[in-house]
Formats: sequence, structure tokens, C-alpha cells
Amino acid sequence: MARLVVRRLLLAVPTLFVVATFSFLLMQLVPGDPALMILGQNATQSQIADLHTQLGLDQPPMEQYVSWLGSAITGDLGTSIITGRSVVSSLSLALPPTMSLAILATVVSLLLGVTFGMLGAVKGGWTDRAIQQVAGVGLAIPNFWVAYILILVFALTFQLFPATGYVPINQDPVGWLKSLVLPVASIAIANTCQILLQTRASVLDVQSRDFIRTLQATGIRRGAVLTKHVLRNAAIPVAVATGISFIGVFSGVVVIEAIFNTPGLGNLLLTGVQGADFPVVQGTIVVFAILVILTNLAVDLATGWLDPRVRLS
Amino acid sequence: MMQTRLRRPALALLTTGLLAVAVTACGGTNTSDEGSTTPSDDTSSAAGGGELNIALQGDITTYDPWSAQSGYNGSLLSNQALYDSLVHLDASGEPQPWLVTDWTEADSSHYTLTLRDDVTFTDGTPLDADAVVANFEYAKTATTPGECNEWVAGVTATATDATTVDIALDKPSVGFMTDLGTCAGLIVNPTAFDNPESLSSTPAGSGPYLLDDTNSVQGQVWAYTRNPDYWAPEAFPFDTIKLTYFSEATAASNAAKAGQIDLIQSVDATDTSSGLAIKLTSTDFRGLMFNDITGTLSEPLADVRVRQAMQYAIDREAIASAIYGDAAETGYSTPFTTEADGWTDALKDTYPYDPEKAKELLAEAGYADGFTVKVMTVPFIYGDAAQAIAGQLAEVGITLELSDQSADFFQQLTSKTWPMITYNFSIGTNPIHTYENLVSPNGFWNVMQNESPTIEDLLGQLDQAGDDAARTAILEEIAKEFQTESWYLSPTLVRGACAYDDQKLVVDSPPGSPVPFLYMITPA
Repeated sequence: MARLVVRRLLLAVPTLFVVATFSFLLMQLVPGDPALMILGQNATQSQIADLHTQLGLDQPPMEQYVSWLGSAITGDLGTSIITGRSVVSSLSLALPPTMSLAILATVVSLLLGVTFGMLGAVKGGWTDRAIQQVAGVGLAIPNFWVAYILILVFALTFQLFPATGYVPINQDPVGWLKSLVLPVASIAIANTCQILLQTRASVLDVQSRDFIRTLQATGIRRGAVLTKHVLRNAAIPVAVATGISFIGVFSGVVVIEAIFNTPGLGNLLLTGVQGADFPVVQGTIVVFAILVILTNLAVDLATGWLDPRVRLS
Repeated sequence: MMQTRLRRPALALLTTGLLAVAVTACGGTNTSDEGSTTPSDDTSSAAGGGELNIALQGDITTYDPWSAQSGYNGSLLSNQALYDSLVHLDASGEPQPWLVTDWTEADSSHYTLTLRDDVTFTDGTPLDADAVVANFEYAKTATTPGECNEWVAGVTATATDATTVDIALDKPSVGFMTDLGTCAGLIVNPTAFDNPESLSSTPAGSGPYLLDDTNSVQGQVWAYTRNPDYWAPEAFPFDTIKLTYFSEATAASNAAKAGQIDLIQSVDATDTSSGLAIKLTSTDFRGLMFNDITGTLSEPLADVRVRQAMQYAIDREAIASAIYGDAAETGYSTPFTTEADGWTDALKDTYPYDPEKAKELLAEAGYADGFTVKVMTVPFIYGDAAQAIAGQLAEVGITLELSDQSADFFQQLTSKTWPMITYNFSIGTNPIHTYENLVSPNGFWNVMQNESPTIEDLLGQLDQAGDDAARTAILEEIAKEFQTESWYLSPTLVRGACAYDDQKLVVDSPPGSPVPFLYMITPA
């Protein structure tokens, strides 16, 4: 297992390099001039040219990238061209809201998905059909549409939760939870349905195996067979699906955080792209890449824990 | 068996119900009454202080007013909370006494300011004549100069006593006192100038509010509480202010509907989706610019008759109303709004929509068969209107080859390879600066360094004008001359706007300011 961890962490280095390089190349296609955004259109040409020099924007793109890469290796992700703030400090402010969203959405999805997936598989009949129908609908609805409907119903009509914003947990834990309910629900719906369908399929598959029939024939209670044997064996694909859902949250946060004005990594990335602020975009994408790599590693570890065959291989 | 049959549908229903809760949106569509809600925990109290919640469309990147851009980001509102201003402006843009209780204007180059003697910065340092002088000196050396620094770049200020500042300008400046009512008059504690980096992140003012660090998060939300030592608290009625940055306009609109926001700093003038009242603010002089009036790149443009023919060939009213609706006034290719000093209704009749006249002028100039000209466009500046103008010019035989150069806008703009470009110029609180900048060889849009001796001469005469009537007469000439020289093909003056809850607030702003001024936001 230790070898697996080391191997994965070593592989992360070239992965991060490729991701950073690719995102830098893509940023070259983004329209806009940061100096113009800073100084405005009433600035004189000489002011704009001076700021280009000051920000290093008059350097060839490759030189800018090599300079950024050299600093990034030492942990210095540079400073934002637009705000002048350290990228690391901006990322440290943006990480908690995004992680709060991602973790809560995944926990909620896992609990609901596994519960209803098992229920459908075990009960069968009308229950199963109803669960499948609702899950199909839940998967098909885009999360940004869900977000607007949730705002309309729960923020504007019933005023149960704020329409926008984020409250840090150390400032007000209840406010933190209230500020996350709607964005988490927007993300969790599709993820729940995904995990639900995976759980149902896995449980049905395991239930049909011979060893389950043998266990049942020996007189072990049905509940015990279900929790101790069926669920454990069905958990491996569910763990993988959960990992994919967790990673999927990161691709969805750009839209969801913009809708709810959540000051997380997604919003930081969006404003970075809008301002052609390449150090911010680079830093955010690297953090997203690290999160994806760590999630995959966690899924591998969980799979290994659940299935000894993976450990041995 | 019967029991089982009954139980299964019941369980199915229960399951469906529970899942429907999980898939909340499936049963939750409700399109009723979006704008009429008021949150139960709303802390905005219009009548007695309370909190003022403002949505910003830009980040506040510095607390140093001499490095801040006041336009569409939040710096002006933030700095008006943290710093006191030499003068205030009223709703018509006229300067009114504030820190400066009285001033005399010997001529447009020499002013004497008399300051209050009872104001201190938050650390106890007196705000006196020396502090004002130090601010004007610092403005000249700021590493990243703010939007207003150039207006005081020619100032030589002398403190003649603790409350008197003599100001000499290197060239006359009409409306200098108006400038001091904007970001050019916000006074910073001079002790902070030793460490500009610290000033960028730590305010050092004497303004009506203090930054509430505990409830502020850089790049996200900025909270302000009253400065207990402020000398005129009644002018700033709110106990606390919260500025929140929204990267998406829809999110700000939803927050306003939910009662979390009282005022959105900047919205599209036709956007009523927030349910808030719209207040028109700034005006943008926007259109196509004849970059190449010497004919280096496109020979026909050197002939003023050709440029004037193009003015006759466009239907201004149709373009303004079709593209911008209520968000724009019809423009007459001169940077004068109908409220501006110097505006006359005769300007409307200079270039009526007359394609036949356009063809005549083209024929006179030797281009009866028309010609083709390249236009650098940037869709977010004037994309739609450029298409409309191109369509109408085609009717008289002129082909505009529109080319989107958003990707490297500034590089293309300064490449001097485009005979025509789309442009946008905000007409500020002091329009004279706009007129100067438009014809300045160093102006942002004037990349071919074109010169207009006539307009520059008239601008110079403004400084010598004896009275308001003489000044107005000169401005009328300038407005007309912009049309005659025909550097701009502008059928629109596009309005900026803010949105506010008119049940709670009364909001005003000086003409030309893209955002309302903090002291002009009061409870309804």
C-alpha cells in the first residue's frame, strides 16, 4: 500500500506539469489586457505601457511561464496581476468554501444514494421502479437550473436560506450551514442519483452471487447478510462512483459558486479568466489538479481497504 | 398477501416522496412574485442608521486612494467611507464646502483653500494644510497611479498656515474644484506615505467609517463601522456598511430580491431583473473612431467630406433605440450630453439621416463608387452597433470590414494598422478632462496622435473665459467643432446605471460618476 501511495505521488509531478503547461497555453487565447482592466479606458497609452513593463507583461509568454514555473516549484505561486494579492493567500481564502461545498455535497450524496440504492435493490417492485424513475429525472436536470429553482423557492419565496453568500464556519457555524444548504443541494441531487444507481446495480449483482445464497441458506439473518456481506462487496464500485462524484463537484463549482456568489476556487478561477490574470488561473488550476490527484489516491486506498485483492495486486 | 400488496405501493409512494425531497427541484418550480419578498432577518434599516448593503461589480484591490481606480470597482465607495474629502459634490456636480470650508479662485491656475481646523486622522494626527500638501506630492510619485492622480499632477501646493493651502497649477484647469470632490480630493494620513505597501492593505484616513477587519474578507466582502470621532456623522446616516463583490450580475440580482442587497453599484440601464429601481449615472461616448484622419492607411478618410458623408449615412435614432433601447441617448458624434454645458439643440441637426447627401459628398470627394475600410472591433465595446453602422454605410457604397480583435486588443489598438476602431470613452464628473483627453496625442484612443489645433485652442480659451456665459459660448463652439472635424462616428451616448431599493433609499450621484457617491445614499 505504501508503494502505491509513493508511486501515485511521484506520478502527480508530471501530471501537474502537464496541467499547468496546458492551462498556460489556453490562457494565451483568453482575450483581454490586465493593464487595461487595472487602469481603465481613460488611462493614457504611456500609463498602460508602463504598467505592462511593471507587471512583466511585455515579456514573451514563454519567459513569463518559465519565470512562474520557477517560483511555483518553490511554493510561490506569484501575485495576482489584477489585485496584487499573493495567489497563495487568495487560494487559502477560497479553499474552505469550495471544500465545504464538495465535502458536504459528497456526504449528503453518499448517505442518500446508498440508502435509496439499497432500498431499491432489496425491495424491488414498485419501490425500485419509483426510485429508478426519480433518479433518472434527477440525473437529467442540470445543476445550474436546480440552483435557480432552489433560490426561487427556498430563498426568495419561503426565505429559509440566503440566496447568495458564504459565512465562514469559525464566524457562525449555523450561518455557515445555512449558506451552504442551497449550493450543496444543487450539486448533491445529480451526485445522489449517480451513487444511487451505482449502489442499486452493485447490490443486485452481489445479491445474485452464490456465496450470498449459501450464507442465507445457513440461516444467517437477512439484515446481517445485507450489511456484513452484500454491502461490503458492493461498496467497491460505489467508492469509485463517489470519488468520481467528488471530482465532478470541482468542475461544477465554477457555475454553482457564481450563481450563489460563494467565494471559492470556482469564483476565483472565473474572475481570473475574466481578468486574464494568469497567475491566479494557473494557481487555481494547479490546486484543482492536486485535489483530483488526492481524491483518486483516496479512492484507490479505499478500494484497497475494501478489497484485499487490490492490495495484493 | 393482501397486506403485502397494500404495503408495497405505500412504500413506493413514501420512497418517491422522500426522493422528491432529495430531488427538490422536481416539485419545486414556482414562478410567482419574484420581486416582492422581504427577508425576516433583514438588517437594513432605512429610518435609523442600520446597515447599508451594496453589491459591487469589482474587487477592492487597494485602500490607497492615490492608487485606486474608481470606475466600476468598489474603490470609490470604500474610499469615501474611509477617507474624508476636501469638497463634496452636489447632484449637479457643483463643489460644496467640506474639509475645505472656503476657497478663492484667482484664476484657473491659482486657488487658495481654507481647511477646517478640528479634523484628525484615526491615529490622532491632525488633518491640516501640511497633510494636504503631502497628499498632492505623494500623488505624483505613486507607483501605480490612480484614476485621478493626473488631475493633480501639475499642482504645486504650499501650506501658508495650518489651515490654508495655496495651489498653483502648471496649466489652467477649469473645474479643478470639481476634481477635488472626486478621488482627487480624498486625504490620506501623510504618516502612511512612508510605507505605500502597508497603505494598500491598511487604510489611514479620517473618514466617517472604519474598516471592520473581523467581518471583512479580502476579495469578497468589506465591512465598515462608524468612526466614533468623525466630525459630521449626520452626513453619513448608516451605522454600518457592507460592500460585497459579485462576479455575476444574476447573483447580485437574486441577492437584491432576497433582501440581502439594498443597492447594486452598477447595472445595465435596461436590466430590471433585480426588482430594484434604476438610477441612470454615467454616460459613455461610444462609437466608431476615424483613427486615420491623415489617410495613411485609408486614403478616403483623409478627406473630411468623406467622414462627413458617413455621418449623413447613418440613422442615429434607429441605431440607438434598436441596439440600446432606454440605455442610450441618441448621439450626434460629439461628446456632449444634452445636459452638458455647451450643448445646443442645433447639434441634432448637423448630420440628419440623409443617404442622398452622403452620396453627393462622396461623389464630390471622388468616391462616388464608395470604398472599403478596415475596422478593428471589440464586441464588448460596440460590437452590435458596429454591425448596424456597417449595414447602413453599405447602402451608400462604403464597406466596413469589421474584424474582432478582442484577443490582443491593446496590441492591435497601438499597432497603428487600423484606419477605424470601435471606442468607448466615459464622460467623467468633469467633462473638460474628457474633451482634453479625446484630442490629446497621448489619449488612450488617439493612437495615431491626431491633433486638433482648433479644439485645443478653444480648450485653452476656456481657462481665460471671464464668466460662465463666455465659458458656455466656447463650449458650444467645441461641441460643434467635434462634429465638423468628424473624428467620431457616434450615434449613441450609452448610459450607465445603478439599481437601488427605493423603498429604503434615496440615491443620487454627480453627473458623470459611474457610481453613486456614498454621502448621496440616504434613507428614504
